Amino acid sequence: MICYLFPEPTYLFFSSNLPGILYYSHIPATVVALLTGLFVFWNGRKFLLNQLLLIIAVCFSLWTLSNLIAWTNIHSNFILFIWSFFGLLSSLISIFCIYFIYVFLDKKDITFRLKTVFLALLAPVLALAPTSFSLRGFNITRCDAFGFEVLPFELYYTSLGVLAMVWILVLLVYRYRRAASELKKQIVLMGIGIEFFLFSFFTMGFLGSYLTSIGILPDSELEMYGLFGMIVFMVYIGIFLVRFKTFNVGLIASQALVVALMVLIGSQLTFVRSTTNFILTLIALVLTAAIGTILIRSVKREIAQRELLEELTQKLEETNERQEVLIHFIGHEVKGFLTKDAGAFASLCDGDFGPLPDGLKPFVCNALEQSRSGARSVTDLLTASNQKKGTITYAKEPFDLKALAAEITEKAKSMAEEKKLALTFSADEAGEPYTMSGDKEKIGDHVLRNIIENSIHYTLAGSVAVSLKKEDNKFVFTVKDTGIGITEEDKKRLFTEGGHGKDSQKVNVHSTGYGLYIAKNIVVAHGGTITAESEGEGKGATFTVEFPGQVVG
Amino acid sequence: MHFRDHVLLYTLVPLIILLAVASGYRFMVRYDYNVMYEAACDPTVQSCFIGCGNDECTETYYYAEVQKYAADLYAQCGADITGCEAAAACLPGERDCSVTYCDLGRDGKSCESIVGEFKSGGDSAQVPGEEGTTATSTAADE
Repeated sequence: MICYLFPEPTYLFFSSNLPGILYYSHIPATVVALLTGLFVFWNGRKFLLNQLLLIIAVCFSLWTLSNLIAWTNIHSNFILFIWSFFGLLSSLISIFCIYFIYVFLDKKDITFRLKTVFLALLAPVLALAPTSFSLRGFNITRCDAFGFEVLPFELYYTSLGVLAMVWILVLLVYRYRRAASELKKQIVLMGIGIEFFLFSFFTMGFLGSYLTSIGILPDSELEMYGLFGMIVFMVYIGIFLVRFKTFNVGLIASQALVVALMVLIGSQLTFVRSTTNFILTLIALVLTAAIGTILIRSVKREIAQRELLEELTQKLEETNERQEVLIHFIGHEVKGFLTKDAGAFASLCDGDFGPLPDGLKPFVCNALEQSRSGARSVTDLLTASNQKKGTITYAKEPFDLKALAAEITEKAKSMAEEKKLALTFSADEAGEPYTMSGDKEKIGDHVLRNIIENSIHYTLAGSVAVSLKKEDNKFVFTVKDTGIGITEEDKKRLFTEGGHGKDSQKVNVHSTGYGLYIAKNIVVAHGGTITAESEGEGKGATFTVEFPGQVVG
Repeated sequence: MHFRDHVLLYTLVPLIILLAVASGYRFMVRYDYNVMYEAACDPTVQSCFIGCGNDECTETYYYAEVQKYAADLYAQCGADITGCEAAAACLPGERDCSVTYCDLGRDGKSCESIVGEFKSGGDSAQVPGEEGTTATSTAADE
């Protein structure tokens, strides 16, 4: 039966007297979806995510093509044959969107059980689509089948779209809560893109179809607006291609963008009615092609530069790694020699081989001190390197922080006395006991000793006051000196790897710049904080270390 | 390729092909569906619907709504029902055939009838001799 009131279309679906938006909504959305789907698939055929995107794009394109045919064709039997696929294609889009999101999130295929659930959901549509439970007839005068669609069937496949929206939303929210920050951004972007597409496609589709079937709307033009959701979704896919390389595709999204723009502008030619509009649209199309070509070339250059930069960065990282291994090796060797030297000098200085001549003893004892200092510097470098690699381990045992601080201060007294500095230690008795759990040796050697000796090094005259108290359930260890102070600029570098103050080496020539860096890492590993305050150059400094008081073994 | 890994592919593809074949057979070969259309109506004999011939509705025409089984209509008139007299009435032995005339009580001002008052009420009656058909027509039809 033919629709006797309508003209036969040319080339399957070109016909006059149709809503202007028909081609404008169908053709760009279809071309953009197909181009993106094929492009992604072509550049990564083996990836399931790419395959699924192509399936969604193909199902959508088949739906739009069928819809165009239904709008323009006049043979009732052919239109009904095409019409019977709408439910199936809509259902496939819903199910494959859910499947797509699972693979996007998990980076792997879904389980067999979930696949069978999907099949079960599709089964009613597959079974009923060609029967009179989905379509009963055709209106030749209006040339549509809206009044003959079976509502329960229509409701079922529309509800699959709603199910997909809800399922995806719940899944994304659930995964968002557990995701790392970079993945969170991707989840939000993908969520907006796919939910917008599903919402516009199914809501507009159902409303357009239902309101037409009950006679409220003269035709289903409304559903055409829903197709623009696919363009939005593909724009989001473009963002994933460019920014996150989600589909393992090389960076040529600018080409896709230019092609999409040309499709959008070119499709306006399908419904322009005047020659002026036709010429203007043609000019816009040519200009887009020209500017697009320039854009693609510049983006290609940028990509080449970025890839070169990435390659160089990788090579640099490899070189750094090799250097680190070398430094580690040299460090251990030098430390070994220095320790042996220190042992020999200590024996000589202590008189193990008999008394030394008067002129030689100070020379040997000084050499002993230099060897020990050298060994400490090398140890600092090795410790910092191990901390960076994460190969350092910490003991966890209870110890008395007050006793440890007093012992370290006592040991540093000779050093302070040499510089004629007053070194004092005080502990607030109200805070007792100062028992904490952690690595006593590392805290003593690398944190407390380091900070105290640091203050002595950088104090030319005056005093260094060490104190300990308990405040807000925290052990607060403070070293306050009357030294050279810290400038605002130096504060930024203070706890960084190899970070020296601007003039620090003028005062302490042996400074490696690793002492405070190591101290900070140890304190942080124990759940504490370390800070330095100074009112400025020449106004002294205060170093404060806080350990959580509840960490008691 | 394991069946469990590609269960969707192995199941859906054959089923979709089957669906296409079944659907094609039903609609393209058997014409197994109903068609509805506007058939010519004479307001001097029937209570007719009034249709608009253009957007402004300056031109009008009279029609009755006919629903027929497509296979029957195809057998009577071929693919194009224009000018086919059999398309305007239900013939004996037809399945799911009905002719609906305008009902003033139901359709209001869109009805046009210049026959007697008793006819404009849109009375319905079974087409005589057509058991099982659901024809809706005025008594004067047959």
